Amino acid sequence: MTMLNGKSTAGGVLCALLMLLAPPSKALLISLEAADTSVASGEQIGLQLWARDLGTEIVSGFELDVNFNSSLMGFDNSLFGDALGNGIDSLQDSLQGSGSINLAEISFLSDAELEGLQSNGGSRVDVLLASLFFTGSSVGIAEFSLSFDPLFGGVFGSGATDLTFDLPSQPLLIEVQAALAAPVSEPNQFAMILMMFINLVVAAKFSGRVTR
Amino acid sequence: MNIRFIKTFVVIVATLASLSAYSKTCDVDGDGDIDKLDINEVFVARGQNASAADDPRDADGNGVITSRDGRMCSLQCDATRCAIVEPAPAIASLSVQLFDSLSGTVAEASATVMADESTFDGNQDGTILIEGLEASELSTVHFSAPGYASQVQRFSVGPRGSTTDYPVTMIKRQPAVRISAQIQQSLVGFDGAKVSFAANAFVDQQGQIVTGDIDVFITPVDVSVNDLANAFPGAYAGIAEDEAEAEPLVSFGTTEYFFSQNGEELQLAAGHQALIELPIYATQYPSGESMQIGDEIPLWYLNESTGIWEQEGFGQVVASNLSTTGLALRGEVSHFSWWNVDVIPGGAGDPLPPGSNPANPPPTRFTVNLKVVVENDSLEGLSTYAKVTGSNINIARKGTIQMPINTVVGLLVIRGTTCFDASAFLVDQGNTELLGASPRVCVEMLTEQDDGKLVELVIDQNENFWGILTMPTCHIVDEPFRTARVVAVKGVKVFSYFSLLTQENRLPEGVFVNGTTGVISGTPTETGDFNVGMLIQEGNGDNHLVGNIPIVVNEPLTLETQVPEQANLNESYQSEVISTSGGCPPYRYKLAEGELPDGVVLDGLTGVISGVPTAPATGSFLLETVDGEGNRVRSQPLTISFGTPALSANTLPSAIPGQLWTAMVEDLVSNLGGPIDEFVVTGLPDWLTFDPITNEFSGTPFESGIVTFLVRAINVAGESEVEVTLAVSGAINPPTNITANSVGTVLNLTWQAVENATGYIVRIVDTDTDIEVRQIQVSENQAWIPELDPMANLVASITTLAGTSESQPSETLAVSIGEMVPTLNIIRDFDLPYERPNDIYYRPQTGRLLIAGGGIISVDLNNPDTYGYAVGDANTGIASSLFADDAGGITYSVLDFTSFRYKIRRQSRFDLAATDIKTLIPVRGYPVVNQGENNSTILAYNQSLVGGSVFRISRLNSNGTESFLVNNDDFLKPGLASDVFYRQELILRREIAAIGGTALTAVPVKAFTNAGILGESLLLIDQSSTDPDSEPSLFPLQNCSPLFDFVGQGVVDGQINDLIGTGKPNELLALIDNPASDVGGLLKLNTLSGQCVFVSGLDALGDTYGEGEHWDPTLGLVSEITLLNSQYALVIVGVPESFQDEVYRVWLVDLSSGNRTQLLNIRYSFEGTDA
Repeated sequence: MTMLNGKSTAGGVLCALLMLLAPPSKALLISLEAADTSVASGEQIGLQLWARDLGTEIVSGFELDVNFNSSLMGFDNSLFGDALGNGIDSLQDSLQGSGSINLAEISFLSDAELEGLQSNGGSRVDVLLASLFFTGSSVGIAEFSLSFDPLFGGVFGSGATDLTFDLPSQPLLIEVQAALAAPVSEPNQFAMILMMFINLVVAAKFSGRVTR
Repeated sequence: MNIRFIKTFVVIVATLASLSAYSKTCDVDGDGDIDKLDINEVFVARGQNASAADDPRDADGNGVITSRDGRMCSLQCDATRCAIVEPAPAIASLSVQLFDSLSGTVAEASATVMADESTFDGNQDGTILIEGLEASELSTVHFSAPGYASQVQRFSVGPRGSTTDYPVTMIKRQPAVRISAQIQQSLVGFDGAKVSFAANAFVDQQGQIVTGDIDVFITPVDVSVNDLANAFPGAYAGIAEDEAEAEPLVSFGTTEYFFSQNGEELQLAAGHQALIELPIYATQYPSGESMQIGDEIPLWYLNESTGIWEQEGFGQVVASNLSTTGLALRGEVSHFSWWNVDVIPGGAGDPLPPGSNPANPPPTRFTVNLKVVVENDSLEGLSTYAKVTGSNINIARKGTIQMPINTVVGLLVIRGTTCFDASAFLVDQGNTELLGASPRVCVEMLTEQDDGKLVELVIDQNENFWGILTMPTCHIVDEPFRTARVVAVKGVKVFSYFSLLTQENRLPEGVFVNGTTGVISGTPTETGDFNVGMLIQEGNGDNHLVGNIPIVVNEPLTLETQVPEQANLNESYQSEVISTSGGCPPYRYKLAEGELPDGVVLDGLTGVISGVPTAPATGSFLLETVDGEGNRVRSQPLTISFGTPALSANTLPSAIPGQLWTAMVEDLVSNLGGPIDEFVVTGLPDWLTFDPITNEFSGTPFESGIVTFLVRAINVAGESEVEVTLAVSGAINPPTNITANSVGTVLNLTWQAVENATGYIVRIVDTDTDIEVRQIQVSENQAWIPELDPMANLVASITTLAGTSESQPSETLAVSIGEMVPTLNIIRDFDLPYERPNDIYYRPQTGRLLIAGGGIISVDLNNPDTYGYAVGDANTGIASSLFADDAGGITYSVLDFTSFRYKIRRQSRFDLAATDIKTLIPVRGYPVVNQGENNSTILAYNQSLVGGSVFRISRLNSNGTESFLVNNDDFLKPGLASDVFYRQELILRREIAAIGGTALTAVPVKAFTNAGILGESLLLIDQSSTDPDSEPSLFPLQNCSPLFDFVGQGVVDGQINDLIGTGKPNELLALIDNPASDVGGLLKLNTLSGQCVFVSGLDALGDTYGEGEHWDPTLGLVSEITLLNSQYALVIVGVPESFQDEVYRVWLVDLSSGNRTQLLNIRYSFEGTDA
């Protein structure tokens, strides 16, 4: 995994460079999202890796790195989405490095089959690439970001071509709070919805385009 | 520059570069398809650099393996969703060149792959392409070719898509010996190979015991001669008894035993054993110990389905003068195949070396670490392999393996020096290219320290080494050039081969190289020394010189012997120095046939026979020289005798009367003792003389018989006498005792039968014109010749036939012919019951015709003017049927007037009174008797019962009891409107004929319906049947002639007037006529096949009845047949038209030609008053 980490570092630098060069326009967005903005230490939180705004494109494979503060959060596991073959008609791999998760999936399905999976009523739908689960370990603000190595990774479309896509320009922040002393009641539902809304707004506001 | 565009450019270039190779690029596991398994290989390797420019995982060719490569490959999957494709079997091919063990190639051969029994035919060049074999595996292939012993080889098949060249050698079968399978046999074949077996010991492919002649092929392989050893079948590996795994073998000789009948392979029947002796061609065990008489060596047979030898017991080493080493292995076998004298080095049959410690014997098997080195970087990642052949130069052992290059492979070898040759191949898109061959490397393996030696076979593609010219260095003029070949070992296929023709290099006249196969063959027509060089032309046109081998073409091998034929006892005997020349030295000597006399031995190296005989003995033999290339030449038959003569009489062919007979005394007697100084012959018949100077008998016998006389042999040590028997027989003599008689217009010639005659030719010559007016051929010693001119002066002469030979004509005999058909008048008394002729029988012993009617009348056919009574007289009663047996007796059925009962009587001789053997009470109609099987009597009659009658056919025993064969009144016949009524038939006074002499009795019966007569059928009754109520089968009479209209199944519209057996198996002669069409005649019927042959026609109105006559069913037709001999029959026909003056006609019918002529009239006249 050392090599993967090295690639991630180089990818991060490239991503930063590309973000600066990219003209702002609506294009495929690869985003990392969470329902909560905080998690108690010792508790688990789920993040979703989405491909949104596909336009006319399909996703036939991808290899991306999810970077996080390993001092605050511990990686538990990941679940891939089912839009590329659900592990039956696709190959999936999740490799954990120190502070990063390399996620890769390639589909065995034809482009036409993928179009069917990734459309609804003739329009493309957003594709859930993977769900990742972390557990808070230390109190603090944990940053989650996406990167990829343009030599090895990326997102692939029809005909295995490389897709141009945007990555969030700002990291996803999750606050790790102190562990609860005693069992608490479930969060107020309204409060949860409110927090999720705020988080989405922040993410949208700070998103930036990445080109490959 | 925007990074996005750079990246895109790179990807496009890489994609284009890789598109053309997609189908190969992503097939990571190399199984010929792209599926999940391949994609997974790419996926797990992502992040790695590609191993080479054409790394199949690097689909986009950008030098690194990524997820994108995986996705690109997934788009190339052979099945939807990259489903796993069952990989096609990895197959490869063999190109086998078949060589004759002595010269040239083997055409018209075929190969059978034992795994799936697929077969492949070779071409005229002796090449067979065997396809569809499992790659990189061993494959067993069976080869056969007309005239060759079978061959089985196990091949190392190359990797997927490769075609590997292999040479295979076949040996011609030795000539067959044809023997009877029903006699115990002991046969000696080439080099003293023997086989002995019991009578009736063979079965065919169906397991049936074989009778008659069979062909025996015994073909040994001399494993000590390199070219011949290549014909060794199967692997040098065998499975010892009680073992499961094959181990290396060393052979001392193998022999094929092949038995066939009409080309069908035969085998020993279960429970039979055969004794065999296998020639031994090498006498040193792998351990170094010398073979000795009495040693036990494992006996092995070739499992032709695996190519592996399997041990079946042991044989014992015995002396064999005919073997090249003087030794053979004797053992018992239960089946025939290739049999082999083998040991496992250090194992079964291999004794410890002399002086070795049994607890720690020296090793006989070693491991050689083999490596084929090809230094060529550009081969990395390509499919390559090497073919390595190892040959032990001390003993017959050879093997070829296929292995990866640049890899160490352990290989078992046995004690001694083993030399390795390697060739390397590149498999590229279905083509197998030759990368090169290594120089031969030999390794000596003797001690434990040698074990594990590394042998490197280096193939340097830069070496100027393009081919191998394999050529024996010695050949014989005017004999086929020994097997030779040039083969390319490097370069681009397809290769062409040419012989060099320069001042220094050329092939001998008459020898050529096949430009396609490189096989060098032909027949050299000149002697001398030659240097042979070849030119190999690659597929790309490059030429390369190969070889500069000096060879010699010598005169044929000759052998001159000076062997004294006799010697005194207790004195030293030694044959003169034997002169051998030509051929290919060195020479060895052996006996080819026969035995040396006890007391002397043959030196196999010098050919000298020497010793000091101490007892009388004689040996006859052929001496044989074998040269270094296996050429052989034999001496003339030699005989050496010591001490007192000891004669034995030989079996002689018969002398022939009238022909000069000569023979040497050595033909009549054999001497098993000492040399003979003089022969004395006594007791010779007058016609035979003996010349004591020349020892020749001579004379001409004048009559058949047995002649015996005495032959005595004398020498200084003593004498021996023996009686010789000579048969005189077999001459073809002309007939004698010819008599001629005219029966009216028909000439009857008889003569004394000639022994061994197969027929006779009778010639009638008109002496006035000297013209031959008639020539006929007859099978027996009697001829009836009609239609000769009564006014001519005729002579007859007869020639005997014996097969295709003819005797001289007999003396001529003047003959005369009558002008009229004679008439025999038979006088009947009105006071007595009149009876017409019911049956006739010609009795060849007396030449008399017997007529059953009122009594049994006897007429001399040669003098038919008078008659007498063979049985009783006119008052005896109504005789309805008769037959005479071969012993001269007669059996008949007769109505006894005193009791009004039919009786069956038998006279053992004509001069004895008859004995009643059966009384039939009551009988309706005429009972019929005839000869049954095994001299029994077949009786057919209709027994009257209240309200009807029962038809019966029975076997009549000598004590009068009956064994019923048929006991029924009516047989329902399918397809007939009504029953078949025998009863009605009998009441109408038509006889029922019963025909014996074979296992079948044929009975004509009439079929009626309420509307009238349908016609007649012929029942075939099995005499062996035990159920008298079973329904007999019908003879298909409707097939007999289109003239007989078919009415019902098996029923003809006509009458079967008489029916007799001809004495030939299953053959009947029937007299059938058809009133409606007035057509009738004699037909031959085959009761087995159902076939009918029309022999002679007798149209009813014209000949049978006479003009204006017609047949009245109420009176019945007299119509009977009897045989004069196998060629002539008599037919008596007539209608009792006039009660007071009835005339019946006797016809002579030639059954071979169908010609007929009237021989006789029989007139019944009546005297006295009608009371």
